[in-house]
Amino acid sequence: MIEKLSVLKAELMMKVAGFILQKHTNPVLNALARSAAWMNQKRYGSDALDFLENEKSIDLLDDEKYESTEQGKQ
Amino acid sequence: METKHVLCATCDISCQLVATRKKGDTSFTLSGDYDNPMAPGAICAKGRLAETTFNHPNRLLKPLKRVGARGAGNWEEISWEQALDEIAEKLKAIVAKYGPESLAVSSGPWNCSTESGMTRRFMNLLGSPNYLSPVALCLGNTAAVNRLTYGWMPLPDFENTRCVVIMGHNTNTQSWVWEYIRLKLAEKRGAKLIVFDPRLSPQAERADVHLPLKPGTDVAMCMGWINVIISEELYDKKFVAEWTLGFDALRERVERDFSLEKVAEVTGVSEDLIRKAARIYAKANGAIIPWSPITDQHVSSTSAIRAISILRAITGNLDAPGGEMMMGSHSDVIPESRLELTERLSEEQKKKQLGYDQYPAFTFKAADLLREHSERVFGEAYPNLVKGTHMAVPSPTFRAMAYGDPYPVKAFFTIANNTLMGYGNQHLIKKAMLNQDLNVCFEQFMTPTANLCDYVLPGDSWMERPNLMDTYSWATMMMSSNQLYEPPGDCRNVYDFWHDLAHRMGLGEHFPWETITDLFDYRLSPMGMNFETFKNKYKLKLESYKYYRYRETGFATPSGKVELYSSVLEALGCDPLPYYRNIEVSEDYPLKLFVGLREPQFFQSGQRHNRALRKGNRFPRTFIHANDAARYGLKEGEWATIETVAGKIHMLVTFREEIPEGLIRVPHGWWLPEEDDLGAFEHNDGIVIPDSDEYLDREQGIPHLKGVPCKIYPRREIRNYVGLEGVK
Repeated sequence: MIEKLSVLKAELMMKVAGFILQKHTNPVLNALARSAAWMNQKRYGSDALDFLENEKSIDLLDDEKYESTEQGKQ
Repeated sequence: METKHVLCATCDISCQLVATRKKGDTSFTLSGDYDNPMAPGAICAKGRLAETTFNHPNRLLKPLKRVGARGAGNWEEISWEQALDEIAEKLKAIVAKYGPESLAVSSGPWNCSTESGMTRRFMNLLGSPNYLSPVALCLGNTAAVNRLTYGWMPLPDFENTRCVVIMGHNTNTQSWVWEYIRLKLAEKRGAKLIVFDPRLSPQAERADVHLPLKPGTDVAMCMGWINVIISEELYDKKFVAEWTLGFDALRERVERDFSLEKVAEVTGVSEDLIRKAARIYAKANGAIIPWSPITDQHVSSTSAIRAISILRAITGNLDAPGGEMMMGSHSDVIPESRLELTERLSEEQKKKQLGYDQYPAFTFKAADLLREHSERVFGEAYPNLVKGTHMAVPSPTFRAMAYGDPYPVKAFFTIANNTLMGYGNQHLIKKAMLNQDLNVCFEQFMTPTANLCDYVLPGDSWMERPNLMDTYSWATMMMSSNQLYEPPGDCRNVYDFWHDLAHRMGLGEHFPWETITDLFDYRLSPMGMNFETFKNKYKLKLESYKYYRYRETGFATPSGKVELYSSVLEALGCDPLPYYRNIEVSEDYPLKLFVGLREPQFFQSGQRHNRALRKGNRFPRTFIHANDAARYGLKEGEWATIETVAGKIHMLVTFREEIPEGLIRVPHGWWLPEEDDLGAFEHNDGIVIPDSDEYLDREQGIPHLKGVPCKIYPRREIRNYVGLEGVK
């Protein structure tokens, strides 16, 4: 039963994703798709994608701090 | 405001972007598509600045013919017609003299994303099995090896998962963006994160469990997990009983060779931590191990990929919600595998594929053992997953090109691929190219590879072509992309190249589509719509996917089950179960280097000419722990030389605390377009990557990039660099 429910939920989510990714010419369907996209993000909180803006990572290399040095010359 | 959706092909991720421009503007601004439910907002600096990459003074705009010696950089501009006439004549003469197998083609699939199977179609019709691609050591080989166990390459179900295992690659806003977003959203939903990584990466730092394993020991770690899962009976007993083959043999192997004590010793990770991670993974109600290039690039790559496949299977995660989805390809569209016409290549020619007997795992030799089973389950005899199955093996191909052994390869086409920088043993590749009667390059820029060619043909970019993208035949997702600009100068689509060459080679009837859009129309014909209609209706068409599909079809393997003990590997004369093998340091080479840690400004060997990106990352940098630097007399910001048995390269030294002592990092794909010699033979990782037998994976023949014994010392040669001043 649990397996059936999780399959049902997962398959439904996939259908919703497919619906969002269509380019609807019907304005009602288009509004519905945009609402679904909005809800999809909001289920992760009001600032669902905060990690896209606030990332501080040592792996984001940036040489610009060496702008005025002779870096790279020997 | 004009708005178009477009699919970025800067890297292999294919982020969906939104292009906008105000009325009267000529340029589009690119941003992530926040309405995309799969990866909302995905875009990186390379995508955002793509116009500055392609609309650039270095861009090739006319076909070029070499005048003077190869590599001297002297060219004359010619017309496409002249170039194709001459190439066709020369290719005909080579084929007549040496046979069709004397043509080898190396193709980088992302840079010519509308290739649509045409490269292999041309080769199959001509009779050459020697298609190779850098996906041989990045994703393509994983796809081929996954097929050995359960017939397909699964796509991780991030949406529903409760546990994510990341093996070394560090997703962030600039690399692996799609996966980074999916991962962060999964974490927000409460999914556990387990990270395999020798270094304490930002991702490892926030993980629930970080396994700081020694490089190249991933297979041992996975087998340790399997040991825990079997001994603690955490596996899915029903699935194992009904759907797997060789469980007892697997149990025997882990008990014999992978006791936790031994795994802890090999990996350098405590038994408790190994046990803890294995339990979290096995107990999660839906767990994924997304593909990682780390295990593609080991001396024991086949075993590592197989061990991951086995973990997915015995924990019941195959085709389960939150697990690993084996989708097949989109049934509404004619797949690339059918367009490739592999059935036209004779059995005799398939057997000539370079590497066929020596390293068979992703050659026709393995693919043919899966052919009928794949047809049965997925309706495709030769599914070309991520363009990486049934390929020639790079090292044997370059040896044949260089030495004529086992037969001469005398024509080499490099299609949207910087071949010289893209594989191991760069000196061999140079020798191989210099020994050709004909080298042809289809490119956007004068790369070190193009510079060794006889003809260089200017290609379009993803902003200058429409696209119909089938997720590299991996999943049931079909995406469309708009053309934003006209190709500059005489730049043309890769389809035009194959179409026009085929017509000159007497193969024209098999390339009836006049344009790439005509070909897209044909591919969409089962849906009863053309590309224009499809593009206007779908950014992405997601076909319904049924979980637990295997219960109706079985698996696409000889037994119809998940082959924990691989009958295909056994038939190929290889070990049917995963085993551990690694390369150790020596007195001469006391450190290990790993190639990797993607740089946010670049994808592979691209974008080095773009000032907007390059100013953030000017020269190749090795990362080393300060204690090792002190030990070897290195100073931060100065040049060092890194040497292995294969050669030496030079990099700037950067101290990094999170890099363990004894290990140094070498970035991939560095060359310097602003230098007269293009900096082609002093900085690229391929120079220090050996490809002699002991450094290659035994089943696939791919090189070891994660833990090559090396030494490092201050650079002795003096060289003045042009530097950023020469980058436009």
